[in-house]
Amino acid sequence: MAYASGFEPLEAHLREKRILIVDDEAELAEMVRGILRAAGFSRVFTAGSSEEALALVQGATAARRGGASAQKAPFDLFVLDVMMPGIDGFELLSRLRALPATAEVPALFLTAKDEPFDRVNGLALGADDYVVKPFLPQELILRIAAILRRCYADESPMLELAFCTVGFDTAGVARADGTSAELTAKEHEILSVLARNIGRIVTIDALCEACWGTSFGYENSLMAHIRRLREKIEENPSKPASLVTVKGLGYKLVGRQ
Amino acid sequence: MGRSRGVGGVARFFTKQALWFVVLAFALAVVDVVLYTLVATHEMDRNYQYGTPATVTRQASEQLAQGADGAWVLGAEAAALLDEQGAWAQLVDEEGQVIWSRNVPQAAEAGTTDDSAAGNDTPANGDAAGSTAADGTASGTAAQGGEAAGEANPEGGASEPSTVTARDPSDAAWGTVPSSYRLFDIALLSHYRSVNGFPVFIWERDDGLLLVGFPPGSYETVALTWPQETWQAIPGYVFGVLALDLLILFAAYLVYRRRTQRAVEPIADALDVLSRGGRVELDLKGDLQPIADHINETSDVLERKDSARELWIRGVSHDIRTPLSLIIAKADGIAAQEGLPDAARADARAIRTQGFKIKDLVADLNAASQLAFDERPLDLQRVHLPRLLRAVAASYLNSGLDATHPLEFELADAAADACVLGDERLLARLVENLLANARLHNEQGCHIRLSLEGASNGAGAPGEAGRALLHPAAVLRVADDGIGMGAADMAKLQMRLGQARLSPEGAVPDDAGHGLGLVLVDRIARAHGGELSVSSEKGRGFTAAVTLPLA
Repeated sequence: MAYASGFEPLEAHLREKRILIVDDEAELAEMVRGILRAAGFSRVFTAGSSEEALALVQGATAARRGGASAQKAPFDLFVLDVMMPGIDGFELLSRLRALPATAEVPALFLTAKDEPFDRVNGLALGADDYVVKPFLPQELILRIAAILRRCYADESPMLELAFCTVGFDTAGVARADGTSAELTAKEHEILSVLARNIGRIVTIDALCEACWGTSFGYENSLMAHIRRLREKIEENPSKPASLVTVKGLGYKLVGRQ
Repeated sequence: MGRSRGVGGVARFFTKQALWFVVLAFALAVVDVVLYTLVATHEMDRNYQYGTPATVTRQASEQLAQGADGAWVLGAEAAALLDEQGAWAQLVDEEGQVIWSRNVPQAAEAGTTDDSAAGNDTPANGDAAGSTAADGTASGTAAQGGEAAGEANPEGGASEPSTVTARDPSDAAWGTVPSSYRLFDIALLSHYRSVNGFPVFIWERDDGLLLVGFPPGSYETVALTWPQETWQAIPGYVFGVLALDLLILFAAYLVYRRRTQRAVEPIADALDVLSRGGRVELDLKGDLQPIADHINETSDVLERKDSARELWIRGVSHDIRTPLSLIIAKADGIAAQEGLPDAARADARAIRTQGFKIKDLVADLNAASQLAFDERPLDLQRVHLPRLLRAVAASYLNSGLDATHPLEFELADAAADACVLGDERLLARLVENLLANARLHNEQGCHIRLSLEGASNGAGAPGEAGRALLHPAAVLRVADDGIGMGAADMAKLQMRLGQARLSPEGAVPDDAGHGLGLVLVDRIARAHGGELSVSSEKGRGFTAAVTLPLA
């Protein structure tokens, strides 16, 4: 079974990430694995219950004990169902957070429930995102890619855009015309948020919240920063090819085709 | 609506009660009058029957006659009657002299029981013999009376007026019977109907007055002498008193009614809330507490049923989601496979589209279940509408739906900071439903325009329901340029929305060609104090406008 790949191709370092899918519905877990494989993720595992997932995590940790990678997490991302017999997804996440090896591993909830309580509950436990069933494969891939890009940003310091390459570790922009530029702290922050969601629209409100902590009162500042950003990364700032405006809604970063 | 109906009902109930009270009062008055009449007649009848003082006196008079020898003779029957009553008798002539007497008690202070018994026996025997020397007895009695009087005045005789009759038990004459009467005594006697404590009945004869004295304390005479006007006013007084009684009763009834009404009011209110699906907790003091307990129990049962139903709906919608995920994702996979025939891929796309319709239905079902009761408090918070619309629109575009149905978002400056007090999820559901509605009816594709405008106080937006807006409001509009709806279909849609508005739990009519979608939009809008209006023309697109009052 082949699934459509994302709008944006996955960066190489993301393809190697180990993803554990925990869902009591074997068929759904298999399907999610199929979707992720088709999207380019090569190391996707499944577990049919929370108990099995914990055993997998502990087994992998024990196997590495003594080796150089003892402290290294056995997985890079968890995709968890909420409603499962036995230990449910929320409980599983709090147990994983309690284990040193998995305390920092990002997690995404795949939930059939969409009551507000569950969102709050899931995110309060430290989940990075949630996707409500039923979902389109695209949606899931984009969300997972966004989480991985954010959490493992230091592994992929280079952002390839139409007219330039941005080094996130140095905040330096190397333009195709041979010139270079430096990003200010705010510009760096804005570009990071957009890069994590590359190919997707990020609303003005979401951008302001990510960069200033509130969505109110910073729209003009945001526009000014975007304008200066474009001057640094676009070939023609008045006709942006990378950082495009979606009228009335927000901005979208388009990767190099 | 329900509330006022309830109050009207209660008012009618009590008006009816008041009418019943008036009827009851009149019935009471009638029964009383009849009873008084009956009692009076009965007592009067009794007075003329055997053994009553009047009868005794009459018979005694009838059977007392003077024989040819001048001796007085009392018939045996009358004598027996007098004895039975323990009564004495005297015949007083025109001069006030007692010319005949029978059983007259001896002087009280001198008479022992034996004496009085002897005194009584002797004339009785004489009576039984049928002849009594009237003079002898009379003189004897007179002598005794003289004796009694003699104590107060040694001069004795009939010349001592104050001692013959007494009005006070402390007087010496009390308990004795005089042997002669002066005009003065007769006047008092006939006024008080008593002689020295003996109740006396009088019978007028040709030869004098017959006095029959009964044992002290056996009868009581009340002589009333009032002005004529007073007697004439008595019926008025009686009716006045009766009317006053009724008035007091009615006042008591009014007070009681008011108290009952006050006690019943919470019950009526509670039932009203119950009928609208709300939850009540009644606490009444006193007699009505059992009713309150029953109502509370009913409320609990209803609530349990509601929550069971809601849980069921939630469970079903939860369980549908996983298989739906598989259907949509797999159909999406097939649609994306380039090696497959175009027809197969088109079918897969159709399956995916239908899967999303089911997804929307499930989401609507949840929202409708949450909105089932107006009483249920929404999860209210300040919602920044432009922010919400941007998020919904961005999510719409990010999911790729704009390939066939491009979306345009427009925000009027006046609405740039429009905030409403509402449930963010439901409001997002509202917008999503409007977008889904546009797509659903234009599968061939269409442009969708989402906009938000401010509406100043009272102005409203053109085409909005005629009601003047009391608060500043925002108008959220979703317009498409698709196939639109003909006038007949529009009328049907309006009717369906109207029906759903009237149905207490937002039940959706069966022929919901628009799905739950617009009905739910309407419900969410109204739950936020706003309203939905729709307009369309065949071939010229469909526009839905939701007016929401600003926070």
